[in-house]
This record gives sequence, structure tokens and C-alpha cells, in this order.
Amino acid sequence: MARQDEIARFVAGFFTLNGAVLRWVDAGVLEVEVPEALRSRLGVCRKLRLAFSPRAAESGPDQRVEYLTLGHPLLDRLLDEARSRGRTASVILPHGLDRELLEALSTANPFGTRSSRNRSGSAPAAELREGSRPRPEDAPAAWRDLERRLGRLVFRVAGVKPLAARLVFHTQVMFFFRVSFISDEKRERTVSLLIDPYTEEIDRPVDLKAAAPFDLGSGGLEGEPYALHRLYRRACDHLARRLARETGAYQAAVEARLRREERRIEEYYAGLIQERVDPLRKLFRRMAAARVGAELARSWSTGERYRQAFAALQQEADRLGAECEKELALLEREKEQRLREVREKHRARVEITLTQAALVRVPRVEWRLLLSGSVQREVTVLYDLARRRLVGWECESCSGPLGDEVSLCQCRALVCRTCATHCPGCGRAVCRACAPARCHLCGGPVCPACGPECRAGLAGPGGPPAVCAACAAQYCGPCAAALSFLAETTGGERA
Amino acid sequence: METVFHPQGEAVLKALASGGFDAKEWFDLRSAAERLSSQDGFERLVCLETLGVQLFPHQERAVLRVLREMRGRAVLADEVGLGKTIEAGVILKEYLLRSLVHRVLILTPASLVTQWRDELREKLQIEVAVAQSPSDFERAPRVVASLDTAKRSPSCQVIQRIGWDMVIVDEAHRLKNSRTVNWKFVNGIQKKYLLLLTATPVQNDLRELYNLVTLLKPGQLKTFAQFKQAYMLDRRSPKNVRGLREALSEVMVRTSRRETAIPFPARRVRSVAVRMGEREREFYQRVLSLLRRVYRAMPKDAKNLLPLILVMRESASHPAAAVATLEGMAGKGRWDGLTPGAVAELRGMVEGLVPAKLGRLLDELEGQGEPCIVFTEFRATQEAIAEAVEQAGFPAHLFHGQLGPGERDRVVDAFRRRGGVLISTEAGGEGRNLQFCRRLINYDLPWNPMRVEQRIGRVHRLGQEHPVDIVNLVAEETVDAHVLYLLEKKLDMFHKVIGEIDAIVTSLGHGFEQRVGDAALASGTDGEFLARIDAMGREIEEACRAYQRVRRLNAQLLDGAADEAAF
Repeated sequence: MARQDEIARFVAGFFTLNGAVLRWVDAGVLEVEVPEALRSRLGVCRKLRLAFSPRAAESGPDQRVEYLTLGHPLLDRLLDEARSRGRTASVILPHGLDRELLEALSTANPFGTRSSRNRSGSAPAAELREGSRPRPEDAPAAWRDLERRLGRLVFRVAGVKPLAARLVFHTQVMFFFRVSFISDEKRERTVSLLIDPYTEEIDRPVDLKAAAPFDLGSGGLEGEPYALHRLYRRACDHLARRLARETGAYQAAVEARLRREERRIEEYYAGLIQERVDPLRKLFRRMAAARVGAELARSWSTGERYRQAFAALQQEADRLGAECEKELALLEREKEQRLREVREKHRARVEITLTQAALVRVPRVEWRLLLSGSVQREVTVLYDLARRRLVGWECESCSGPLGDEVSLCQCRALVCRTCATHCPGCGRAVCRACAPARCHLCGGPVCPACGPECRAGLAGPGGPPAVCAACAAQYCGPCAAALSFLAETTGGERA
Repeated sequence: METVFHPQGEAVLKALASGGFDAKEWFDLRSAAERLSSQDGFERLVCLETLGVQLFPHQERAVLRVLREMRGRAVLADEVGLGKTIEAGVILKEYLLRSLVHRVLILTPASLVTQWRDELREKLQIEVAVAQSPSDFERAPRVVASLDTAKRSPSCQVIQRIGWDMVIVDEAHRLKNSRTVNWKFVNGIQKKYLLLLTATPVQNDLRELYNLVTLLKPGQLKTFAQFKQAYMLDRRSPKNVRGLREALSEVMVRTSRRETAIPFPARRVRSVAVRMGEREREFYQRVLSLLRRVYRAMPKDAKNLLPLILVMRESASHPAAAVATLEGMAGKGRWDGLTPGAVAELRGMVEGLVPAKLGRLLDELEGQGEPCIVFTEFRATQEAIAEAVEQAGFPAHLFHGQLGPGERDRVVDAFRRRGGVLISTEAGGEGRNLQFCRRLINYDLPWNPMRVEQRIGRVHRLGQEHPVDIVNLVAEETVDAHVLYLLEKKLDMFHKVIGEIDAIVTSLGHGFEQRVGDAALASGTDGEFLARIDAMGREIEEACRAYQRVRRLNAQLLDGAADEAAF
């Protein structure tokens, strides 16, 4: 019945939008007064009585009630009519559009006040501004989520100073595709993809039901057909990749069916050809026997009899051969036709149709923060209110997620915990990009200021291996092996 | 696998780029429409709820099997009366709704062409064109044609040139012989899906079954030599029946009547012979004599019987209507022996003449509180009955072919609400469910058994909860009385299962109506006419026996009804 409920909602929505007067009369019967313009388009009378369940349809015996369900001509017309419009929309997601959140945004600091120490424990961690925070009971749910998320962030720098906060709306494009798998059956579904015009990344689609129309007449991607086509192509590529497994499974099933059909046809016609050729084969055997008989005949007259029999058989074979050839050609043609039919029937394809597209304004909160330590840097933190997560929160060194623990490298790059190493020698954060080499023992970045060479100083083919300050006290494997070798050769003394 | 991005997307992109946005409400509505229009394989039947008829469980099962397992190539071999036509129609509808089928060819016996068109239209809302000329096969995407017309040149070449998505062949036992033009013609058609409908895939010889299945799926039963070796003792006796049934189960759907247990109410049939008044009888005899004269005057090779048969039937139903038709014919001056003077004489006879049947009809209606349907073939008779019925104090509702669809609904609604008498011409005999009423009176009888069956089918169908009373009014000593004799006594049509009549009458060949007319007009004397009717009766009896024989053979072979050891 879920499907029928959906149909009922659709039908009611359709007629309402077209200015019809709707009234639910008896249990489950919708009475519709159809406006003149729509009447002629749909070919219906002024008053319709529609039901969405068989029981409701039977409940009004005094007047005709149409039971509307999939396949009903009227519903088909309504669906066609609805599909002739509503291709595009410009909407804004309402998340964050409440006064309390905006107030909280202007007064509160969601980055928390927790302090943290860097790994060496020497440098102070960020002490954030103690702002006036909204009281928990006043805070809207969106703000609480935001606060929870941002409160987890730890900046491993000396100071973090929020400079400004604002609500921004970023335009994204949402594509709606109808994907049809077609062969001797048809399976369809709708796939929606959201793509960010700036990063060109595919994002999780959002539910547009709650979205509000938003069209200022300009802005967004209007007038940028190239960009739009680019996004569309990217979405198509992504879709094709995403459907690859499903497509493969579908194709395999169809091909299995096709192979079965082809095998049946091939075997059948091979059998038929065999049966057609059999009499000819028998004839050839008799001819061979006649020839042998003629050769082995003891008398001229017996030989002649065999020769005559052979000639008669040959004539018969010529006739049969010509007939057989014609029949085989006919069978071959018929077989090809049958094969063509099954191949056409099982021709598997995926048809993807862009049915709708929408510009979606996604609300985001943007903070500008000043991070200060041995170096200073202004960073922008973007929080997506709709999806409740940080946007573009990527390590500038490895491009992976930045995570909750963030460091500022000497090169002013914002780096993740994995990429940032605090040099045990000088205590500074060093990102992978800044490190001239990686420690051959722990794999971590080697501080450009303190980066010592291997203690044993043995040079490999590319020079002496790099080692970080933490590992500098140890001997690496090759060094230890080399030293032990030296010790042995020099009479047990260790180098 | 080919992945195609539909170019329709460009229009969407263009609209988006130009900033020409639709209202959000329309956008949401379209999203809902797209979701609702999505097809999900054959998990469920999309058209089930919209059918003009209720599908029986065995029909639903059959349809799903054909769609899911047989992938649109099947022999629908249900026993007669179990609704093969509807099954085929539903399968077609499902494919159409999924856009898997566009071009459809339906091949039927000539007598069933219009019936197919009407049933598809009324019960499944599928419009098909009746092919009148070879170009119709190219022009119309969905065509119904008689097999005999289609196989003839040039239609044959046109049809075989086109790639059809689905081909449906009704009464497919006509394709039992692979050497016939019928078989070769259907075999030569390019088709993706094929449905063969027959209640009797085997008629005399197991090879017929082989030919039918091979047409459907070449190789399903291997080559004939292999089939013979595996499944045949002789031409009528199978061996390894289990194996054969297994092989057939992949391509054939068959339900026997005893498996369905469809609850049909009883039919109570009463035929009332009405004695005509003196004047009426004299009128009838004079009309018959006149028509016989006209018939004899017609050239042997160009006898157009239909107008004469019409007058014969009218004169037994409504004399004034018969005279009007005769006047029209005489006016054209194309009928030798039909002079205006003779017709004028007849006109004088019908002044003030009230048919005896009309009085008897009122007697039948008297004292019955429940609604009743009176069927007649003629509008003039309908008017006369309506007048008499209203004068007798019954509400009369007129239903005929000149009413528009809305008016028809209103008349039936009024009849349902107010009761009384629905007086209907043949327009009410087709496709409309009137099972809320259980009384039916045939004021006059069509000479075509199939039309009688259609009339009865309006009330005697699923949903009817009470026994159905059928009264046949027939004037004594008329051709109608002999027709009733053939239908009731020889064909036993009022007690046969729905569909059996169809099978038997089809086997008799075309023109039951014409043959009766020919017998009536060609006979010089009543004795000669009776002899001809008796001969027809014997022929019908033989057809009934042959039908029963074939039915038993199929039941034994395909249903497992008989002990397998018997094979």
C-alpha cells in the first residue's frame, strides 16, 4: 500500500498545483473538480471521483469511482503531464536559517577552550578565546551539533584567535538520473548526485523536500554552460563507475541467458543439418562399395554391373547434393534469423537519462581563524550545516582528512597528525613537504634544521641515510650489521 | 555492455544554464512522477489493478511465469474458458508498460479479429488496429489481422520484412503442421516475443505438439528424429511422459478446469415457444416466401444473403422493422422479385400488429421484483419493448450503440440504482459487466452462437452470486425456432462451459448464420428445410464429439489426468 499512498499524494499534489478543488469525501475517495483548462488537456469530465484502494473504489456504488493505480490511463496522463514540467529548480536548504543560530554565531565560540600540549610538552597549546557561549537550553540543535564537532578540534599551535564568523551559502548542483537496465526485461531506478562546482567532488545528495525555492534571477551557475557541462560529465563518469558492479552483474545474467538460447539454437540446427546430410552420407558409402565392387570384380560383366550401379548412385548423389545444398542454405539463413532474434532480445544496455537538475544553496558557517606560533597563518574553517561536517578539511601535505588534531608547519601548511612531526631536537612542527628526507628508521619527516645523518655515517648508494632526531641515537640495521662485521674483522672491538 | 546517456539531458542542462527554473512544487511533483514511473523488472504486475476484468489466480500465476521464467515466449494452453486471451493481453500490457514492446502483431481466425480488438480495448485499454490492407501492417504499431489474410501476398512479405517485438497467435493449433503455409509464414516472421494460444496443442498427432513448440523455441524438443526417439511410441502414444512434460513445462503454461475451481453460479435456461397470432403468422410466411423468391432470382455465384437474413430475423422480432428494410431494398431496385407492390401489401399487414412475443415478455416480467435485462437485436424492437414495458409500469432503460460512453455509464448506473428493465441491443452484449442482475431474457436470438454467449456472459460471470435465469422467447414455426433447436439441443450451448462453444463453432468453419439462412432460403419446402437443419445438427454433434476427443487427449498428455501407465 506504500506505493498507493505515494500515488495518492502525487495525484492530490498534481490537481492542487493545477488549481483543482479537492475534497476527500467517503473513506478514501477523493473528489476533484477539474478546472476547464486541465479538463481538455487530460480529456476528463468536470468532476472526478478517485480512489486509491479497491475497497474505497467499491464503497461508492451510487457514483462511478475510478480506482487509480499504476497502469490506469488517467494516472499515465497525469504522470506524463507532470514529467513535461519541473525539470529544473533553484532551492535553498533551510538548515541554519533560524535566528537563534545566527545569534549564537555572532556571539559564541564553538572551538572550545580545551588546551593541549604538543608532543614534546614544551610549547603551549592553543588557548582559545573565552567568548560568551549560548546557554545550552537556548542553543538550536544545529548549533549544538556544530559546537560538538568543532569542540573536538585541537590546534597544536600557540594561539588560535577567531577573527570573524559568518553564514554563507554555497551553490551546488544536484543531478537526478533515471538509470534503466534493459534487455529482455527492464529495471529502473532513480539516482541523484550532488556535485560541488568548486571542488568538482561528488557529495552525498541531500533531501530536497524541505528545501525552499530560491531564485534571485542571477547567480549560481546561470550563464556558465561550460562549467555546467563539465559538472554533468563528471557526474556521468562518477555514475558509470558507481554502477559498474551492478552493470556487470546484470550483464552476466543476461549473457548467461543468451548463451543458453544460442546453444539451443546452434545444437538444433546442427542436428537438423546432420539429419539432412545423413542420406547423402549413406549414398556415398554405397558408392564407395560399388567402386570397390567394380575393382574387385572377377568378371567383366560383374564389374560392369557395379560400374553402372556406381554411375546411377552418382547421379542420385548429384541430385541429392544439389537439394541438400539448397536446404542447408535455407537452414543457415533460418538459424541466422533465430540467432538475430535472440541477440536482439538479449541486447543489454544501460540507458541513463538526466531527468532533473537543481541548483542547491547549501548553508555553511565560515570562520576565519588566526593561528599563531612560531609562524602565523589565517585559516578558514567551513562547517556544512546540512551535512553536519567540516568542508574542505584536508591536510595540505597529504590531502587526506585533516582530522581533529591540526598542526601548523613552519611552511605555514595546515597538516594532520600523521604528517606533522615535532622535531625532538628543536621542537618545531615539520610537515612532510618541508622535510628534506624521511627517517629511514621510523619513516617520519626529518627536521631540516636538526636532521642528522646516520650515526655510523655509512653511506649507501645514494649517500648517507637520513635519520630523524628521535632515531638518531639508534643504530639502524645496516649500520649495526656493518659495525658487527667491522668488529669481527678488527678482533672483537666494536667501532 | 553499452551505456547510453540519453540526449534529453542536454535540454535539462540548457534550462539550468539559462536560469529558467521551474517552480519547486512542480520539481517535487516531477520527482514523484519519475519515481512512480520506474519499472522494477517483473517483480509485480503493473497493470493488475487497472484491468477491466478481475484476473483469476491461475491467470496471474500464468502471466508471471511467462514474464519471469519463459521470458515472453510461451504456449498458453489453458483449457477453454479459463481466459487465455486475457492472459495474453495482460502479458502484452506488461511489456507495453515497460516499453519493451512497441510493434505488436496479433494473428487470429477471421471470426475473432474484432473480438480481439474490442477485448484489448475494453479490458486492457490497448488500442490495436485491424489490418485492412498490407500498408496497415507498416503504418500501425499494433495490428490485429486474420491469419488467412496475413499469410497472403503481399501482406506476407510486408509482415516478414518488419521486425516485430511481439507476435500473438490465437487458435495456434492451426500451426500444427510445419509443411503448411501457416507454419512457414509464422516461422518466417522476425519476432522477439511470441505467444501461441491454444487449448489443444495436440489434435491427432504428437508431431503437432513438436511443431508448435519448435515454432516457439527451436531446439526445445531437439530435432524431430530425436523427439521421436525420446518421447514417441507411435504418432498418438507418447513415452517418457514425465520427461516430455518437463521439457514442455519450460515453454507451456496450462491450467485445467479442475485445478482452478472457479466458482461460477448455475445457469437456469428456459425456452418459451410463443404461438404467433393469425395475422402475424401469415405475415411471417409471406415474408419468407417473398425472400425465397428473391433468393432464387439471385445469380448462383453472387448470392448476397445478409440483407435477406436480416429481414428474416426482423420479421420474427418486429414486423414493422422488416417492412421498413424491405421498402429500402425495393427502393434500390436491385433485387429481382422484390416489387414495391409486394412490399406495400406487407406494409398493410403490419398496421396495428402487436407481436405475440411482446405480450409474453410482459407476462415474464410480471410479478418479478428484481431487475431484468432484455436483449434484442433491433432498435425498432427495442423502442416497441420500451413502450410496452413502461405502459406496464416498469422503469425502462434503453442501452444501444448510439449512446456515448458517458451516457452508457449513466444508463447502467440508473438501472443499478432504480432497477426495472434494461433493454439492450448488441451494444450491451459486449464487454460490459452487469452481474448485479441475474435475469436475462432473449427477446430474439442472434443466429451466431458467439453472440448469444456474449449476451449471457454479461450476467453469468465472476462476481455473480446467484443462479442466472435465462429465458429465450421464440415464435413457433419460425427460422428462429430452428436456430434455437440447433443451439439448445445439438450444441447444448446453454450448459457448456464458456469458451467451448467458441472452440466447437470455430471447428465448424465460418458462417453458422449464413448456413442457417441459406438452408431457410434455398429450401423449397418446410420438409427440405428441416432435412437441412437436421444435417447441420448432425454436423454439430460430430464437432462436439471431436472436440471432446481432442480435449481428452490433451488432458491425458498434458495434465496427467490419466494414468501414465496407460501410455
